[in-house]
Amino acid sequence: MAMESVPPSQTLHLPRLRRRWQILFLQTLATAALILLLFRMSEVYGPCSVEFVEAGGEWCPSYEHTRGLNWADGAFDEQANDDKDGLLIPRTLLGIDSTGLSSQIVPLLLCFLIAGLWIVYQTQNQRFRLWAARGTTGFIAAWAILPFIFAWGSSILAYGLHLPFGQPYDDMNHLAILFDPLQIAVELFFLGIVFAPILAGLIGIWGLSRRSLTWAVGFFLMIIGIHALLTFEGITEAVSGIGLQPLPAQIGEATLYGGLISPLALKLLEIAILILLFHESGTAVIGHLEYAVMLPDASKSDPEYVRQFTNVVNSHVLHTVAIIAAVALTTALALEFDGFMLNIVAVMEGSQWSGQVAESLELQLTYGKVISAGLFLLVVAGMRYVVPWQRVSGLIEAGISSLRGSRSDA
Amino acid sequence: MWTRKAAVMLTSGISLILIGMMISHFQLMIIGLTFVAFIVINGWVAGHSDLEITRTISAQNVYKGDDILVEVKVTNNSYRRTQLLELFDNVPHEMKMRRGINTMRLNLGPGQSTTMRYTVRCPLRGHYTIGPVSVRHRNSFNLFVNESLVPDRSDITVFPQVREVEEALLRSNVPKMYTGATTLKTPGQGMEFYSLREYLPGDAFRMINWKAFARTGELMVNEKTRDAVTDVFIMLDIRDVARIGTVLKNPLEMGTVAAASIANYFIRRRDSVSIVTYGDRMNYLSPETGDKQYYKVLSMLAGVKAKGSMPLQAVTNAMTSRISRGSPIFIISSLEGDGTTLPAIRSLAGKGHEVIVLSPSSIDLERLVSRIPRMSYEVLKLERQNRLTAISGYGAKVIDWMPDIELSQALLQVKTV
Repeated sequence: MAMESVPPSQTLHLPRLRRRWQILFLQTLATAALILLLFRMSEVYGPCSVEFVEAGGEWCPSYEHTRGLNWADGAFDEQANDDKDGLLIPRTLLGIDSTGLSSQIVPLLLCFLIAGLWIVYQTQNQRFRLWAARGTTGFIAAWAILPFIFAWGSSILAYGLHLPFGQPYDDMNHLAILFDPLQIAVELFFLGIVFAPILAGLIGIWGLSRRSLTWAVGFFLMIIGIHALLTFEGITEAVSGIGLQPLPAQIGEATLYGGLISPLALKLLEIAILILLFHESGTAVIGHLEYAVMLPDASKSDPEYVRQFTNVVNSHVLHTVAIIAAVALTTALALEFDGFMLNIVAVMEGSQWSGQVAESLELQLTYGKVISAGLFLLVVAGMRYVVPWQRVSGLIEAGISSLRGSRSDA
Repeated sequence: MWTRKAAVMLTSGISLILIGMMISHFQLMIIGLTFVAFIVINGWVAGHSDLEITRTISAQNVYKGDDILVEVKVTNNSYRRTQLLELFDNVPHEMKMRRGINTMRLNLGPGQSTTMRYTVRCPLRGHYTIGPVSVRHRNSFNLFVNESLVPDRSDITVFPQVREVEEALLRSNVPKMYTGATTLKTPGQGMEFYSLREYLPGDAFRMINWKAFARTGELMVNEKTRDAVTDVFIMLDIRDVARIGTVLKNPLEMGTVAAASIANYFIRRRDSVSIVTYGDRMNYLSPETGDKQYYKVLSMLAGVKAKGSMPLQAVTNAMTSRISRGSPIFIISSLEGDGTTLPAIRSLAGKGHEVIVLSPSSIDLERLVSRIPRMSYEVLKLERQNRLTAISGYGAKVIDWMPDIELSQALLQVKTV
């Protein structure tokens, strides 16, 4: 009983799998989610408070990089307001002279470039990687130390033996050169606040690193957590001048999509959904490729394995789109479920009970909204035992298959 | 069952909702709600177990080192899609995967089926079972898992390898008294025609000669000559000491190969072969010939395990009444740790049996797994040589079987005093 095999172009070998549309679709979806997340996060968590800006504040711990870099520019520039640039990294690469989304375009492209280089580096053999690591380390060390040594050496030749600091003439104080790497680190820090999760995310998606994906999601959640803490009333009362712009206390009226969701809730929901989409699509690719890599060569060419792999990834693509859409819709509905309950209670107007319920829902605001949302999710969870959708979809699928079969027979 | 990811997600979701409520931060609440909604919606997509799983194997009985092709067919008999299924066929760890793999991820629509194929090699003799099949339903996002076992099992017997020893036995110093089945000129249950006689009540119908009946009008039956065969006795040492060496190369494994090969040779010559194994207890297979006996011998050898410390003399004493006069006896043993070897062999030789001792060199086998100092090795080797020489002195034919020597070559090295 010899095993059959599929044509070489359809096997489950990694190089071929990486060109499959399902895999590319999931990776592209994850990348798009990551970029949209960057834009949406910048929009919501980027600005400092109006009072802080009007008071002349330079930098607040928001999700934005140009303000921090501008501060660094001023701090490192020896002679403020002259033509000399205080930054070591070219301004074009930092997007510092642009505003809004355009300030993120060049650093974003840079992230793509670095992620690409990193993936190329990872796919090289051990010897190349060793030499590349040594070369990079050597270059950084040389760049950090050699200018200082040359400057000091030439100064010694010109002025005689002396220490590189504490001299009466600036030309004889060279120690400041050693602080250039520190300045680079500061610039990278401000850039990294915004783009480190993007770089990690891209490496995670295209370099197939689960750790990088988790790290990126963790970073985003940390940004949101820090923002939540620093805009908490208790903190802002105790520490003044932080300058972060808090989210509105009220989620607002549901005016979008036929009264389904409020503009603020939509923005916040988008961030949550994009985090989910980015993480799940990225990890799905890794999971499927891990399985394919684990298979021996014979199974990679086995038509049954290939067919089932296609079934599994097709189903995953479908689930990713359908379930994430359903999650977005369910969460939106859940957030407005309090309004629905208020309408029901209003129908029973007049009774003491309905009055109490309406009052508690309206007065408690966020609590009422979240509790009613939880209640809605509970109802949705229970509905799975009532609605036999899988059986119905199965019957439809079986019907379609039999129709196809009879058509091909004919 | 919830996976760790689902548990972490639910906990994080609820925590984010609570923290969000405490510090009035809508983003945290919405992320928390989204996480919980994600779990809720995924709960709608559940797998099921209405599967039909059947396994076919290319052979139930194989020789050591042979390959078996296994095919597991899975059919979805329900009107629902299976969702993501992980199939794992439990294969004994002694078997080695040669081609394909015993696991598969699949997603079958209603009525669809698929087949998982793999080939395993059986490097160790024994009785094995492939199965049951483990089925794991997994949610696309790895949030819910449901595991079940499909109790479909396939039993496999791996016989010891059988070597060709005919030429070796002919060329060796082993006595050529075993001539295979010879016909005696007396009636009996043999193969050759002897005479016609009248039908007597109790005679089998298949013995009736219908042509003679047609010719004479009386029921006549064919009588056959009686076959006289030699009874060959093989005594195999399966005591605990027989496990010295590696898993694949030890006195027990070498002994089973030798016993199977010798039995095969004599059964093909239509001699009767009896086999006795002794370890923690004695197992005896009475002398018979034919394919059925060959199968019984191989099955017995397939299942032997090294244990116990029964002395050889206890076996020979118990067997004395059962061994036919003059029958040749093969003793396959490392001869280690048994002080009764010499008197037992002396007793057998004294009763006129041709005794052939095939002794795997346990000292050399032990060297395969542990380092023995040269001096110790020399001393142990000398002791062994003395033991073999003593046995040879009682008239037994002795073969010192080194681990790197093939059985057929070893049989050519019969040593007599």
